[in-house]
Amino acid sequence: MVRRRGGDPGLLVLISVAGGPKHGHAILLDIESFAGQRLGPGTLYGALERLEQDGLIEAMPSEDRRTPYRLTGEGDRYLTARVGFLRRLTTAADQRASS
Amino acid sequence: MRRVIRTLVRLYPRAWRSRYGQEFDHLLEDLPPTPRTVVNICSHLVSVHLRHISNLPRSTTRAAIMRQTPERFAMLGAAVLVPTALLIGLSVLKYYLGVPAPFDAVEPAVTPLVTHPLGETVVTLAPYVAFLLAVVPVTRMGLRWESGRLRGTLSVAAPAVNVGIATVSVALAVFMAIYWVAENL
Repeated sequence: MVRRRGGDPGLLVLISVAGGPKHGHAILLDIESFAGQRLGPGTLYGALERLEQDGLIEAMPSEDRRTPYRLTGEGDRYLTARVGFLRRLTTAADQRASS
Repeated sequence: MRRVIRTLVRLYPRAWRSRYGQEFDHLLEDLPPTPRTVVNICSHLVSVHLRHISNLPRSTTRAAIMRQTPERFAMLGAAVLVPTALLIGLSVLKYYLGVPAPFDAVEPAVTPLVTHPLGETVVTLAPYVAFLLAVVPVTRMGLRWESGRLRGTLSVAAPAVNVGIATVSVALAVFMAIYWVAENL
């Protein structure tokens, strides 16, 4: 059976910060707990930079050299639309795979 | 391994480090320093540098990119130069200054590489490649026909790092040339 690992790091980060503001290490631990995937530090910061530039997340004031990130309104709308799209894909895949 | 990671973090562009450096350092302190982490940081480091260059306006020519980021080309030259500089530095220590230990420590690993034709070529050409990488981006040359005469202009505006890498390259090339003459003539 073909196995493909990994998911879209940006989406994983969005899902993580949708649960509340988190700093880098907390995001990594959270993603590992809900997706079973351990992102590397470079992968995480690549995703954080892109999401921040796109206005989907924003940095909060630093706490003890750690910078928490939170979802913006735009990020919330994007995540809702993306999850809806993925849900439709999942439903279609479920129906076709079982038939 | 932590030292390697700290060195890699220092190689990020200054603008990136000023925005993310502190929190990135903090994250790396929380993570185990594994080879996978090093590879992941290397990959991200390259993508950040490439993005920095590609963020320049689309109309920017390759020559303009080289002029706007000459330090990067000099650092690339430095990286090319490292094996040759180490080899010559350790040889000088052993054969001219009587400190054989560092050379003897690396000799078993290095000898097969530098005696291979490809390795020998890389080590020999490195100073010239590094010199070009340090000098070409900071040099502007012009040739034009004016009033019946060919007029040439040359201007150099080099940051300190480019001057340093160019100087070391020339020193190594001269040393290698003298050594070659002494050995073969």
